[in-house]
Amino acid sequence: MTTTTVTPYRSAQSAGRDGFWSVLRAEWTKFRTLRGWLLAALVAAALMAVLPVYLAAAAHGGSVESCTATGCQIEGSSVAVGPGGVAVLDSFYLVHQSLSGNGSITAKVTAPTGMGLLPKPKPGSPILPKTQPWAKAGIIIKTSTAAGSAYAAVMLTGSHGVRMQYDYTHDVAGPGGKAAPLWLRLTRSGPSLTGYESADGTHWTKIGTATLPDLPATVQGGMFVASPAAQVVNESFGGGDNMGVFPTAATAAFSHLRLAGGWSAAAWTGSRIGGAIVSPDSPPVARPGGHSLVHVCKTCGGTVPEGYRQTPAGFDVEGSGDIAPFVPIVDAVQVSLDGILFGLIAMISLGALYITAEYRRGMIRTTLAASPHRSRVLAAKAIVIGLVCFAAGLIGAAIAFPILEDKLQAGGWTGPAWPHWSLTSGIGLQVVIGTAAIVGLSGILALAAGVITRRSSGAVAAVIGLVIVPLILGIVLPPRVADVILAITPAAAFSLQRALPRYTQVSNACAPYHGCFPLAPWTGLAVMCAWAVLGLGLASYLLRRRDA
Amino acid sequence: MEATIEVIGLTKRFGAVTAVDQLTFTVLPGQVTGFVGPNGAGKSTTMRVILGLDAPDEGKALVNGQPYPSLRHPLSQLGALLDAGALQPGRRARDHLLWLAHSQGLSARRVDQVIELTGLKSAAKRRAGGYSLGMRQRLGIAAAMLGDPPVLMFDEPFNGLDPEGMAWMRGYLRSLADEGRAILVSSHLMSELQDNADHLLVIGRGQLIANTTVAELLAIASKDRVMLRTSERTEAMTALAQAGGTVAVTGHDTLTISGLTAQRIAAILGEHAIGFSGLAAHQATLEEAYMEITRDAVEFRPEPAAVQGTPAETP
Repeated sequence: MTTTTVTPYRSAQSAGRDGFWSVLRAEWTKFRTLRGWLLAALVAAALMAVLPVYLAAAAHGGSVESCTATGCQIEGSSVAVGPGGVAVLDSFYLVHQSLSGNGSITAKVTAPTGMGLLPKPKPGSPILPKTQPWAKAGIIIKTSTAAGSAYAAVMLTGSHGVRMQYDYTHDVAGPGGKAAPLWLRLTRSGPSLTGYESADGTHWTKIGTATLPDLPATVQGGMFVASPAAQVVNESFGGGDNMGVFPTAATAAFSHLRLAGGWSAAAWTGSRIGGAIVSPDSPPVARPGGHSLVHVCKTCGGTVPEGYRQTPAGFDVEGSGDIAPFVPIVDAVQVSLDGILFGLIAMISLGALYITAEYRRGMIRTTLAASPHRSRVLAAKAIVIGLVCFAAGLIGAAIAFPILEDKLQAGGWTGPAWPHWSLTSGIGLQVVIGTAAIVGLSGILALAAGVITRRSSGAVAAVIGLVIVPLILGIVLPPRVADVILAITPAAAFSLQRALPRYTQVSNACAPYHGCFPLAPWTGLAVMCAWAVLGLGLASYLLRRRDA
Repeated sequence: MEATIEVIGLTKRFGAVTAVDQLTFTVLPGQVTGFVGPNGAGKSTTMRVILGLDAPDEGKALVNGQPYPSLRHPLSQLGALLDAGALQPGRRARDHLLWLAHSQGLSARRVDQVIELTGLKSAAKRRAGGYSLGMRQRLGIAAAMLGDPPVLMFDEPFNGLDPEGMAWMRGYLRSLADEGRAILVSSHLMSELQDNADHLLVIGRGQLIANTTVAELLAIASKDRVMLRTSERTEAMTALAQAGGTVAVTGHDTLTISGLTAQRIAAILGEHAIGFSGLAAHQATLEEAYMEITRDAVEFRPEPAAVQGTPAETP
């Protein structure tokens, strides 16, 4: 050895802060000092602001409503305006009399039995349940016989047991466990309506209480039956516009009828509520045994029986239609927001490039030598790219949303079916923040794919395949398959862009190509989050295990 | 804290290829240690393992007594320049140093210091993509100096440098070593290290061939070789070969003899009455020494004849 007395070098420089914040700061510095990347993010945000507005302005569909004095025709249904301006279906058969002040009505009710589907579906199409799952038979107290008026009802359903429903959007399940027929009771006390069920007419269980503040002193009450139209989607490759809507009817027997309080004591009257779907050229027809009415479905050419008949024990009632919130098939906001996809692809590319550019130039070695704790580097990169993508999505969607709402309103997508939402409404925030979350998580997925593949092309293709291709598959594949794909891929999160409400008490044959997603918005987001976590986990494992 | 790099029994395989084979050496403070070997000998791989970038199959590498990945402020302990081209071309040179500084919790002031130190001040605001290779080397040195580390490691820092840059680099490495830092510099050209390195690690096919000082290595290579200039070449060859020497023709009237001392050769030539105009002990260059000891280890040998012929022209 040449030297024996060397004093090793000691730096006078004080060591800087160590740890995750330094890595995070370095990664942010790295991102912001590439002007091309900042510019790309801005362009992507601008695309996400402009294209949805363009789509909204172009969306003049044939399904825009036309309203008359009796109600609105929207997507082939007669829609009334319910309490709070909500679009509702209020179409059923009611045997009623008036109640002044407080009182109660009690009856023993059988489960509604379907009376088939008219006309019969074509051979090869799926056989529908004879009884519609949401066929309803029960007792109701309602402001008036006008469609859309406030009500509360307790009922047996086709396959969802005992329910108490009120004002269309509220649905409370009964305690269950009892077999039909069941005793039902509805009690009015001022604005409060309380529903009960009983297996024997002696021991009663409360189901729920509805408060209807605008209920007048005199109301209508009685027995009702409804059976929603069956929506049949003929599954086929290349899309399911092959959908038929068939009216159905159900019947139920009411007995042990007991009234208490201020009932009018007049004779029972049978009325069709929401008469719009009764063909005007088909007047009520008297039928043996007291059935008073047959209404004709004009569009499908079949006949659906409705009416009532007095029996020794009480009444048999037949009815068609539904008492439920109305949700249009086309979600105009969601369809417009497909316009973010170009900007999303740009941000996915940026997310991948954020790491693959380092692999391409060998700079990953500089990065990992500076921060040997590799999962920290990945976490810092995920935070930076996630936030950048989130911000781009947020800016784009927040600019686009109010303008596209105005464009849709101007294009006839108006209330009650398509309400106007402001940016700060619950729906506005969900759609805008949800869009930002989709872009943010896509960026993180792209980063993970970039680490895994170490190539921009592979990473971008993989993430587009996971996030965007399922949307296209949702359009071309049969709805049943599309539903599975849209429930398990990250594309499930696009359900956040849905502006129309979802109700569990409505059977909706709403398919992905109409902007319907199988999962609820936040569940869809959870699926995408799970993908991001999984992707980052695999990326972290490979990053730590591989030689740089 | 000892300012060292220790490589102990290091083996790294890539599939069937053993890139580094049972390598053991220590880089000491106050010295420039040259890490020499032909292309593909395993120099860069060894450096990547030292930096914790590649995982060794056997053995270990320690920086200041610890594995690199466990160091708290890695760039304050070991500064490294592996690949001057490992940059994103769109980023300004100063910003490249800035993110590195931030990763170590260092401030922008330190960035400006190392820019000054490496003479990049006028070009610091330019995009790194427009830099010449020589400027990139300086930028890489600046990055390595950010943490003011006691140990430095440079992979082929002379690549792409013009003579002026070469001189600057030599002087800079020297000054760093004189400050008491441990410097490991790799090169595939021994000439680059001739007047610069104190200690040499010669590597071939992943194995350590020599671990010695420059002076010792030169002595080994020069040992026992004598250059003879004579007009009676054939007679001289016959006489010297009979006396047990190994004789090689290196020119029109020159021979190189090994196995015999100069004194003995003079005596033999006298006995046979063979005249000669020059007789001198051969002074090998570092390059020759390197050729000599790596002859078996060269992965891609150019042409054996050329290797043999080179020493001829040097008196």
